[in-house]
Order: sequence, then C-alpha cells, then structure tokens
Amino acid sequence: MASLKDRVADVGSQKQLFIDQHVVDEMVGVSQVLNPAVKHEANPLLVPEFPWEFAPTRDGGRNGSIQFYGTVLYDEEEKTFKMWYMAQGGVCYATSRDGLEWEKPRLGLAEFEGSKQNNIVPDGPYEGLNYCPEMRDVEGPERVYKCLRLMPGRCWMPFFSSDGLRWTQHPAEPVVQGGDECKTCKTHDALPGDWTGPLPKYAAFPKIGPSAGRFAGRRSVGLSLSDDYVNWSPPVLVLVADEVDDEMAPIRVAEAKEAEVIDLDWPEDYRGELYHMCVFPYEGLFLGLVDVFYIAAELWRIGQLNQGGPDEIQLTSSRDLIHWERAGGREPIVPNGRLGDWDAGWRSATSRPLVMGDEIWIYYGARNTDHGGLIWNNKPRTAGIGLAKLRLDGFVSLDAGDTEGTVTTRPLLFEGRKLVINARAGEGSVVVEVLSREGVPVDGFSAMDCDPFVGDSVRHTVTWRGDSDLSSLHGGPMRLRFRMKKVKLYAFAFVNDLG
Amino acid sequence: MSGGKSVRDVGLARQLFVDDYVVEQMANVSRVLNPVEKHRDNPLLTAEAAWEDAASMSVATALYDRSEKRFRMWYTVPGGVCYAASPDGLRWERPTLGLSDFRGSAKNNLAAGLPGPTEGIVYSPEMVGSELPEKYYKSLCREEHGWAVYYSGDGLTWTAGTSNPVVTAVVLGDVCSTGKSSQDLPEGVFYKKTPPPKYLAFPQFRVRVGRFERRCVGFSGCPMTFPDTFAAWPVPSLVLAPDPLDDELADERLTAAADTFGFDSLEDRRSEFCGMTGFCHEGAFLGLLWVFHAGVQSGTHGADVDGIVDVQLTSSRDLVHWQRAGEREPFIPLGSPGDWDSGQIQTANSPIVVGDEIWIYYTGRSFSHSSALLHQSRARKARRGSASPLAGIGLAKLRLDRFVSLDAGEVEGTVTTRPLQFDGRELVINAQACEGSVAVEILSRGGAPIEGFSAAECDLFTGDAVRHTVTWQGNSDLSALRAEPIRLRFHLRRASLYSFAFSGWLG
Repeated sequence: MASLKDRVADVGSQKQLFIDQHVVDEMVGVSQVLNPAVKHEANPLLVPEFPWEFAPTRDGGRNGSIQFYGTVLYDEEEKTFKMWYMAQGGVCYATSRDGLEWEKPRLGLAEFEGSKQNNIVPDGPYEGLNYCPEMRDVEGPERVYKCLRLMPGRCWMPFFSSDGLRWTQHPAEPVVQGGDECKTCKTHDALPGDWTGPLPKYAAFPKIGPSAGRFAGRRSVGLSLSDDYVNWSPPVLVLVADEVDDEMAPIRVAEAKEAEVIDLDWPEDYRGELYHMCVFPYEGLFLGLVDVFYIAAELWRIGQLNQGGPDEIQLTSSRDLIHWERAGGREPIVPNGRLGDWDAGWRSATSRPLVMGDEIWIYYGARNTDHGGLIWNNKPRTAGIGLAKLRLDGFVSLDAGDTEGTVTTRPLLFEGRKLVINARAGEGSVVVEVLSREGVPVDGFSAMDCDPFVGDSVRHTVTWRGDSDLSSLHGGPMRLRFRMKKVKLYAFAFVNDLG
Repeated sequence: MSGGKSVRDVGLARQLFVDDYVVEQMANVSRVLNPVEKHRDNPLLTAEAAWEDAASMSVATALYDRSEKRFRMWYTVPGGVCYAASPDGLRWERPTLGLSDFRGSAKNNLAAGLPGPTEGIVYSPEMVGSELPEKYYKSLCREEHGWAVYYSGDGLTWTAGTSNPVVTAVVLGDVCSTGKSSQDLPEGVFYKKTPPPKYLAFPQFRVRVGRFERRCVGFSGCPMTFPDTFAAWPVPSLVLAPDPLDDELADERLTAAADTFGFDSLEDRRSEFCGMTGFCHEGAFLGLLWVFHAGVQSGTHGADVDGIVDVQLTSSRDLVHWQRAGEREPFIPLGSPGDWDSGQIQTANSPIVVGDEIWIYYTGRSFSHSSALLHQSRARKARRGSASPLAGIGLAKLRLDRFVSLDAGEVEGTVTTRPLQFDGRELVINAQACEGSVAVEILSRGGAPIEGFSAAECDLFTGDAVRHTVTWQGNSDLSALRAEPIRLRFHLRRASLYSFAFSGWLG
C-alpha cells in the first residue's frame, strides 16, 4: 500500500493553503505557524451608546451590553457594510461605507421604552444570518436573508427576510434539535471537492455534546445539513474538546486572572469546552473559528448557574464538514487583550470573515469580563465590536528561518499555465523546483533555473530563467519543492491567465 | 524536558503503545501494527444443522465462563440465536437445548427465537450483589424504533426488558456491538467528575459523509443502574466516520479483489464502517473496526451495494476521540482468494484473554457483502479446487498486549515516556529481542539519569517474553523511586516493545 503522501492530489486550479497537511509530503527545517489577525487601531469600532445597549446594574448604574451575536456582510449591490449585533434591547442593525465608521439607523420597527426611534430588528438574527442574493431567483426574494432562531424546547426554527430587517417565521415543525447556540453557514458558494460532491446548500452547527465518557456533557460542535433551510438532517457530533484542551485550561485561566477578567477560580473545575464554531468556505476548505471555553469554575459554588472562565478564538479546518482538524497549534487567531484592554475578556462571537481585496476582515465581539461575569458579578463592564485583519490566505504559513528549509508536495495533478505563490520574504528568498513524481528535478525547472522571489506579494508568478509557462509539464503528476530562507509561504496556485 | 507533557498516573496498569498516551518522545522507532494469527484449524464451526445457513450464520459472542470452566458461544442463524459450548475453545459442541421449535422439534441448539439477543452478549457475573442474577447476561436487538434490551440468567432463556427500545436515535443502522469498561481504570483516564460508563454500545449510524450516506460508528455509554441494568442509554453520538484516505484504500482493495468477486463494474467506490467491536484493554479502549470496501453495481442506481469487509484496529482513551492504528492496515486480514474468510470478516462481541494470549472469534465468508446467494455461486466458482468451506466461524490469536509495537532496527531507537507516577516495585516489559536487545534507563522528571538505573547499568534483555522483569546490575527493586514522578527511556536494537507495567510484587 502506498502511503498517503505518495498519492496523487488533483488540485486543478484550486489555490492550496497550508492549514492542514493535505498537499504536503515532507517539510524539513520549516514550521507550520498560525498568524494571529492584527487588530484595528481604532477598535472597538462599535460601542454602546443608546439606552437599549446598556443593562442596569444592581447598584443603579448601567453596563454596556452589546455582544457580537450577529453578522457583518458587505452588500455589493448597495456598496454598504451591514452589521447585525445583539444588544440588551434585542438584535440591532448598523451600516457603514468603509466597515470602520458605523451608523445606527432609526428603523422604526420595534418599540423600546415607548419609542420606535431605534435600530432594533424584531425577531432578528442573533445567531448570525445567511445572505444569499445569488439564490434570489431560485428561492424567492423573500428568502434572500435566512437565519435560525432558538425556540422554546431547545429547537431551532427558520426565519426568512427580504431585507434583513423584517423577519417572518417559517411555519415548519421544529427543524434542528440542539443546545442554545447554532451557527449556520451557506455551503453552496464553496467549490465542491471531488470527495464531497455538491453538498446540501446549508449547514448548521448546533451546540450538542457526547452523552457518555470523559467528555460527556461538554459543549461540542454538531452538524446538520439542509438543501432548503427548512428540512434539516438529524445533528451529528463532529468536534469535541480533548485532553489537550483540558491541559491548556490552567494556563489560559492563569492568563485571564492576570488580565483581571475572572474572579472565581476553582482548579478542580478546570476543563476545555467548544462553545460554538463559525464556519465558512475558503479556497477548497471549510474553516472554522471555534470558540474554546476554558472553564475556571462552576458558578453553583456561589449559588449561581453556569460556568465562569475565559474563552479564545482558534482555527479549525475540514474538507467535508465531518472530519475537523485543530489548526496552528491551537494558538488564538484573534488573541485576547491584556489587562485593561476592552477585549481582555469574553469574546462573544465572530462573524464569517470577509475577503476585502487582498485582506481578510474578521469582526469580533468582546468585553472585559469572563463568561460568568455577565451572570453574577457587578463590576463595571465595557463591551464592543472590533475588527482584526489578516493578509489574503494569511491564516497559517510555512516559515523558514536562517537556514534553508524545504517543503515538498505530494504528486500534484494541476490545470493552469503558471504557478503563483503568496509569500513574504523579508530578507530572504524562495525558489521553487518542479520534480517528477519520483522526486527527480525536471529539466529547465530546477532550483538553479528558478528566479528567486524576494519581497512580499499575495500573487507572485514564479519564473524559471524568465519563463513562467508550465504547459510542457501537463503530462503527469508533478511535485513542487519550495526552498526557502527567512520566508513565510502562505499559498500557491496554478492559474491559467498568462497576464 | 521540563516544558513537556503532564504526569500520567499509571498505577499498576499495563501500558500499551497503541497510542502516545505514555510516550513523550521517540527516535529511530516505528510504530507497527501486528496482525493476528489465524488458527490453522479454521473455520472451527460451519453450518451443519438444518436450521443453520452458511450465508447468514454469524458469531455474536464467545466468552469463557470461569465458574463452568468452558467456552460458550452464541451465533445467529435465520431462525434465531444458537448456542455452542467447548472445553478448549477449539472443539465446539451443539447441545440439545429443547428450548425452541424447529420444524416441529425442539431437539436443537436454538437458544432464542427472534427478536432475541442477536447482537453481542455482555456477561457480568462480577456484578454479584449489584445486579439481579437473571440479568447477568444482556444483549441488544434491533426493533422498529431502536435497540431493545434482552436479559438472561443463564444465556439460554431470554426475556425482553420492560422499557424497550433503550437505544434510540434517528440515524441508527442495523448493527450494534456492546461491551463493558473495566472497573479498575487508572485514575485520570476519565475526567474525575464523569464516572466511566459501565457498559458500552457502538450502534451503527447512517450519516452523509462526502458524497454518500454511509455506515459510521456511534457510541453510547450506560451507567450501572439497578434494577434497570443495561436500559439507561443516553442518545448515542457519532464517533468515527470514513474519510478520503479510506475511500482510496477501498478503491485499491476492490481493484485487487476484482477478479475474484467480479467487482469490475462497481461504481461510486467508497469506504463504510459497518460496525465496531469496542472493548477495554488495560486502560485503553480498543476497537475492531469492520471496514466495508464498497461500491455500487453499475445500472442498479445505488440499490446493490457490494464489496468486501475486513477488520482494522482503532484506539481511544475517552471513547469519543478514536485513532486509527497501523496506517489502517488490516488487523484481521481477509484470507487468500478461495479461502473461507476471503470475502468478509466480522468479529465477535469481545476478545477473550486466555492465559498469555488474546483470542478473537470471528465470522468469515468467502463471498462478498451483497446478495449472498448470487455470490455464493461466484464464490463456488472462485473456490473450484479449494476444499475451503463457504463460510464459518474461526479464531484469531495474538499474544498478550501485542496489538501494536514500537520497533527499532540496526540503529538504536529510543522511546522516552512522559513523567509517570506508579505503584509497584518492579518494572516488567513485554518485548521481543531475539536478535537484538532492550535496555531501560530511569530518568528524573527533568530528564537526568537516576544513579543505579542508568542504561549502562541495565542488564540487557534478549529473547522473547510477555513479562520480563528488568534489572539493573541484578537489582529490580524500584520502591525507592515511587515518591517522585519518573520517566522511562527504552533503548531498543532490533527489538519490538509491546507494553510495560510496574508490578506489585518482588519476583
């Protein structure tokens, strides 16, 4: 039996990232590194301002109360960013021209303290929504916006809207059974992999958990699929915290204590749970922003319900929505703030990232207290919604240091006439050689022939003695070997245009 | 090593190398799956009686009854569940039970009609005092809305439970093996506030994975609940599903077997997991996974899924996260073309530890999975000139703990453990080094050799032993080292290391 690494991968013209080891055969002197998103300097971009965005405190004061249970999308037709977020008074709506400065329009849809002069969206999409303008002709204009809302009895019901502001409950039987969180993802804009074929159009990720064994009852990620957003498959368990999460818990709790976001700390309660996961298709993969909850204490110890502790946003990847891998050594993709920062505490959620030009924008909500802080303590709380950015494809890179590192791929079948790489070579360089399936350099495409790439580019066309044309190599599977020094390599793709 | 992994409390339990549970570092060592050895007299049982049918006869359970000093076996036939007994596990007798009618006579070994204990049987005489004697034998049977529990005091007469069905989920399939977790799991194996479930069930799920709805493995665990033993099963979870590599392997296996079984026309080739026999072995949970290398006969529009079934090894520490062992090579390989077990293999409910061996009974079939009758004729053709039966029940053996080994060749390999907290006074290893050697050194948690227990002082082990007591200049006593966590470092040359344990007595 040939090992997996000798098997041919048919990559076509699909860009390949290095989040999993799917196309990599061998790495020498190279490490797989998670690149945390860089937070915008103006964060938090959206903060509580109006009475319905505050919660009363026991001593008569008020605390900022907005959470990013919601969505940010960019409406191409209206050239506008649109945000739905959760505030004390319900789901609220905001718009922005640039994604940085946000306005809260007076919608006149819901009453708050006797007035409709507010931005509250009745029956709004607090778990996030799916915006599907491409399905307008198929599913009808009244279903361009879709969401699931939690109903009594721990089940989820579909709601539809034509504008995202006026929502109607679909008169169906309860559709997805599951816990009190349920992110959804449209999957029909993903390129179907050979293996998955065209998947059902929508996926939901209800919070469920194993019923027995060491991880019984832990918050975990389930999967349910639907073609019409009304009929959903029974949820199955797809991702559960493990022993490594449990071993990480004391470390993360200690950091949270240093940042003064937790008050109650009970070592025998320490453990990891997966609070929810925001899934989105990205270049042939499904990526997940999983919220890992490091439990510091059971709040029954102080006569309350639920648990206290910090959380963290980490990256996961899957090729079929069933098998999930934890990526980048479980380092945070949107790191928690430090002592005194607005985002030192609980991150309420993330929105499906937006690809804006050559950047990836991740909106996230955060506050300065932990999970339990919302429930029991009375300390002044700040909350807001911010933005963190990555370069295109920038989630995980293969990094080489001062000595040359090499990355050799599996044999690849590809379509395309040239090879494009996304890399940053600060003071270093990268060359690419093309090898036969057996590993022998192909004449004219050796490392010696390759013109070294220096600099920083999200799409650099590789050339060999000035020539980028790979048409002569289409006979059979080829391996690529990247030879790099002081380089971060993010992705590669075979493309057709000879621009 | 100070920044390494946390301490494992291993107590007196044997530590296998099926996963990295106790391993911190390995160098020049490879992890190798050791397939079973099939008994030369296989198959030990074939269809003989009028109520038995080679195409469907299937072993459900084999166990050793200590009080009666005999092996007992239950296997399914079209009309129910049959019973056989054996003094040595090799020669099986069919006692006349007089319990069930077959064509007007009760002179047969049919223990129960249908529905009855068709899936594996769990036998728990050790629960004396906490379970009712009439429930020492328990089994699940598929009914319309889920799995129903059946009880027996002697394994022969069975009664349905009162709250059936007891295992329900929307996605259940038609196989469900059961087992029990050991009572004496070392601390730390389970999260301390979540006691291990006493009983385990692995119901087949049907879930869309990739392009197809496929058979997958589910799991549920049942606490010991008096008096409703075996009846309080929480909703099972999906724990194991085939992935793209499984599909590539399926394609390879079907191509290799194409001539024998006429698989040329199979389309939509993929892997499915028909079932898994899960059991507890020395603090690890192991699984015998029935991997169905499958495809659809062209022109049948998905109606006729055909293929071959072999058995791979899996492992877990928490019953939810399962690892595949040995690069997914078969643990119980199919027989050569024409052999009685060349088309399908399914394992009995739980392996049996017999002395220093592990015995696994299994059903073997010389035909492929689909449309048994059609394939019987194909199999007969394939077996022309072969004396091998069409199907039967056989035995596969393994020496104790030898599922997976860490192997080193000419170049010395080393295996360094995590810090270990142990009970016991001596170190015992299970190893094979007939042409090589094994030495063990003991390190502090920080990685410094401990005086008197260095590699240079260790008396080399050569040979082949299931339990060899390690000595350092003739001394085996480790009691002085119990206060602090220590690490072991094994030095292997041309050797296979299977397990180690700290044993409780001075040898």
